Amino acid sequence: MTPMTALHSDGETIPDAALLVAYANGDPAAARDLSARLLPRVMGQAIRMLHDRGEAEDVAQEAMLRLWKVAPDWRQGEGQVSTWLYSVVANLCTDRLRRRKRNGVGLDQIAEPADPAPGAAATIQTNTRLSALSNALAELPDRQAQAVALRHLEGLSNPEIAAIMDISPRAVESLTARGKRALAALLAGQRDALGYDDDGSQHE
Amino acid sequence: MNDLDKMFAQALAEPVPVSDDLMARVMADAQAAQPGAVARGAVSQPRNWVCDLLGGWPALGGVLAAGVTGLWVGVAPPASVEGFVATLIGTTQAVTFLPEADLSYLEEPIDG
Repeated sequence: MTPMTALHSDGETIPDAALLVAYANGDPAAARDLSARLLPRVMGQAIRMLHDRGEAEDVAQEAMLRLWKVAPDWRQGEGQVSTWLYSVVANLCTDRLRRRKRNGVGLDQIAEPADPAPGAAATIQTNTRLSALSNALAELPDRQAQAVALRHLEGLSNPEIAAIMDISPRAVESLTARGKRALAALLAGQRDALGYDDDGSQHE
Repeated sequence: MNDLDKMFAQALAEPVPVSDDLMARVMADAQAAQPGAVARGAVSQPRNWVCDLLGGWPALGGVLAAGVTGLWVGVAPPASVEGFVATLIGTTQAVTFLPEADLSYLEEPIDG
């Protein structure tokens, strides 16, 4: 094995791909730097789609493991690590949502908080709404759920989503529009349960 | 802002916890999957190379058992082995390390 040059963490100046190649070449610090940079983003994407901390952690670990395994074959300049990871996490999350739907967790089965603090009504309501949103995503076709989540839960632009999903920006637009309409219809029947009539919000 | 947009905004505002346990799991995976990790581990433990060469401790145990059995058969061959060898090569020679005659002086004298 040839001696390696360690890439030391000095902020965000080193591209993700360079750190990944350094990891593949045996740099022991590269994995730590990459994880510190990427894991919060990966975990955030997973928890916003799944709204289940345990499942989100499993997805995040699996996505990072796939990154470590692909490292030796990674070619700098062929694509961004973040784009690749968004795609992997989106696919892993829709797999989980499909399994959740198959196991009978329906829209009307809104998860209760594990141990709600007394009086934390707002926290409970937020938790209820986000569980309902995740369960409604499970009802959508995979590609619609991914496009909606990348657009509205990650705040990405249509060209960015197009690169992640390997489709045209126009197809992204179509998927997000149809997905959002379907989500609104799925959640419309739960306005009372989700407390939207209590806070004076207007339903469109 | 409609209900759905409010939900999206709430989801985006949620804190993202990255626990120490998750980080530890990810780092353990990274270490295990890092190319060359196995080779470096082997080099750091040179005293185990004989054991590894023979296939680990279970295989080494088998080799030792076979060696001890061979030694025992050589020192005290069963009758069937002696008979087989005699048939095979036509003759056999028994070697006694402690001839019976030599043991007589060890016996206690009997008076009378």
